[in-house]
Amino acid sequence: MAYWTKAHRPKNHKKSTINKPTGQCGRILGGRIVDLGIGQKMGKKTTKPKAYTLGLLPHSDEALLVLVLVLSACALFSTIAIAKINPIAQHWRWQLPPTFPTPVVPADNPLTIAKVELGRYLFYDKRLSIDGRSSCGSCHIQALAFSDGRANAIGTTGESHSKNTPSLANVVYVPTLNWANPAVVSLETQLLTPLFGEHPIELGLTDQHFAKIQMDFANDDKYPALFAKAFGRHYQKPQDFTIQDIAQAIASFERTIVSTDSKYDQYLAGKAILNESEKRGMQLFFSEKAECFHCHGSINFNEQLKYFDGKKVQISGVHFHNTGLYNLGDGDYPQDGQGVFEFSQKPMDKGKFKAPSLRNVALTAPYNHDGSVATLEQVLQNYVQGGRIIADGKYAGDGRKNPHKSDLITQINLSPQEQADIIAFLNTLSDEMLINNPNYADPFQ
Amino acid sequence: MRGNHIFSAIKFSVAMVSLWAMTAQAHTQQQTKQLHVEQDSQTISPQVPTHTATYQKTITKTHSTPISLRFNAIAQNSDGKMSVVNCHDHYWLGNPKSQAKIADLRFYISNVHILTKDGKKVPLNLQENDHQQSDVALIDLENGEENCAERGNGDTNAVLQGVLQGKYRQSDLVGVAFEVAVPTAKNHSLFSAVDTPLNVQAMSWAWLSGRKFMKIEIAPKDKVHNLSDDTYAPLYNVHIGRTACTGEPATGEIACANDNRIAVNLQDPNWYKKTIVLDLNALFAQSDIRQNQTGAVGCMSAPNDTDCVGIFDTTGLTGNAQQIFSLAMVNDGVLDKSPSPKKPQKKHHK
Repeated sequence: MAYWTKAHRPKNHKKSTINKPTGQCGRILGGRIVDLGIGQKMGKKTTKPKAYTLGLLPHSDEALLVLVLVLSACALFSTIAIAKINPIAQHWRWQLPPTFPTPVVPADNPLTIAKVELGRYLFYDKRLSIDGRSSCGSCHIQALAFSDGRANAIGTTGESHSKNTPSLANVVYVPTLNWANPAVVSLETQLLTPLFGEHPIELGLTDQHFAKIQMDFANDDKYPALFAKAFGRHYQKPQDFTIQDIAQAIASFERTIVSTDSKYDQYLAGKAILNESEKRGMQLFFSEKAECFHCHGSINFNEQLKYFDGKKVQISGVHFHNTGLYNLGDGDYPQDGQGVFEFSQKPMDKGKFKAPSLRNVALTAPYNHDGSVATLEQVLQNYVQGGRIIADGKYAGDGRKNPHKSDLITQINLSPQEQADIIAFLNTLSDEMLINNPNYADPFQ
Repeated sequence: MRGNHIFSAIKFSVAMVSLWAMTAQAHTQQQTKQLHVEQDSQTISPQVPTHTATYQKTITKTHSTPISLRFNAIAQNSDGKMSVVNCHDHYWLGNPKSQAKIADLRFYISNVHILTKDGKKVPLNLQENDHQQSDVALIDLENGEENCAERGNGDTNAVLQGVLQGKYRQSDLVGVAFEVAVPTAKNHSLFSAVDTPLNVQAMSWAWLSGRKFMKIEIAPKDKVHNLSDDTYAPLYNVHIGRTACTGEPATGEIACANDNRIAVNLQDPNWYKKTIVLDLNALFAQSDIRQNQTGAVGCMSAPNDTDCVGIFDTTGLTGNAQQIFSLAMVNDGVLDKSPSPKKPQKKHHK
């Protein structure tokens, strides 16, 4: 991923004080105000990795200094009523249970409340599609934990996607995006594919259509002010509304979509009680018997995790697995669904996909990368068997015998009760706060 | 001639490759127009030397030789002639030949070298302008009109401008070598965050965190039959770029197993009088553009896309020599197949 360097900063982009981590009058300090940088830059001039910078920490001397500065600023602003654009950005404050690690945010795109709010508008703005009919939110629906309930996503022009829409909950912790794309490691890059991608068409934007959107935004009631607040400069001309700003704002909003308040989380915090079936399911889930935890054992119930451990950025579990979902001969999966193999062309990568997060899994049916498994019970059944058996049709084959299947996928001896217990436990991972939080809701409704 | 030609700059031009030092020798009226047009389109254009001696005096001082390389794309038109393509007409393309219009036609050029008589490759430093950084240029042979309106843009650029360090005579130089590619260090930058010509959204390839080196899209008259799902798509696409890429999540660095840089090496004793011609018939020589066998419609460089087999062969990505670029004379928008370059009609003197 490439972030701005001095050499590459767009000419129309002025450096802004808004990105500096300061508090705002009245509401400052305390809590976890953390700005983490992971900005590895492109190009010769920037081969030196940027240091990870902690912004404000509640008990540091730096914080005291900033407190003094901010109080002075407050005094200044109360006496001199100027500043068309508020130069002081209020940094995002994570509200996470202690069981969750600190998320990583690129240094070039620090989270601010104003940017997240702008990103929420853009995420739900249907003008960001070629026919004005869809937005990011059309396929990432809050009530469904930001998935869409379809087997395969449908683009704004009706084109069917080969993949099932993944949930966006806790995407801030995910190191590689998409189902099996080792090449996309930043949200700012990822979101360009649904916006502009041609195969398949998702939102279907083109350069020429984007110019019309910029005109629209410049004449919008809200956007000039929302952009100005988010990025600390004036927005008047259509070309002021850049893709870079839009991408940074949407990525910022997506990073804040966290799911941390499921019944399971409440149980960990001592605020809820799991029933006997859920408890047995939990124990099975994390046992060597059911083996679920090998690929779904992180705090996010997936394998791939990116977080800040207090000293540095940690990346763990960047793996992809073949779970024996298909075997069309030679270990093949259906076309357009061959997993990492589509990128690497190595046979060993056939059918390899990311283990998705199981948080809110009861809300995100149907399942697997292509939505080809309708229910959680069937998903579990496939794992109990050690792969999926498709008796007839064009995808007939014994997935259990896929030569590229992960060695972690073997037959598991689970009684019907045990399977029901695991499902009961998975149901405790649904998060009512996530799907009802007004901060994530469509502002156009 | 129709007013809808893609490259108005090319309408007049005889020579795509013009070594400024030598233009005085064959200073036809047409070439005068060519230079005039380039000034109009804000490309950097040195003063037109009135005769060779004056110019050589200049380069003795600066020890550099400005060179411009002109690109054309040609295809077989409805009259059967190999003609410079535009966004309006149908061309006979593919195997078997079928009619198609151009929808987009852009590519990046980097690693440009001028070849000398004694076998050396001298790097050509590109001049920084709206279409060039020192090491990469975008050649844009569509004008965003008519059939190119949806995929293309209004910008055009057919001429690569560079400077060769040192003194060279025309007879010292025998050809040009370049790659259709973006330098690896710049390929994976986010288009929205960098300078021209790498800031073109259409050339970005977000799903691989990189760029399309070459984006050629054609609209077959009867659409493209997608055999895998029995649907019809409007465009047959050729997107060439690095594939099999892996990102390092902590740093964002991208590494790719398949570079897919199209290497071009063109030599001709009269190279400086010719244009660099991209032959779309050669590109699609093995492709049935009426149908798509697997994956993305056309060839988007996926290693397992069978529609890429022919494209990878003609572009030389499977190890053989590329067959799509050549040096040739183009007169009045049509390929001049005569073996020797057309003689200047009349020298212009003051």
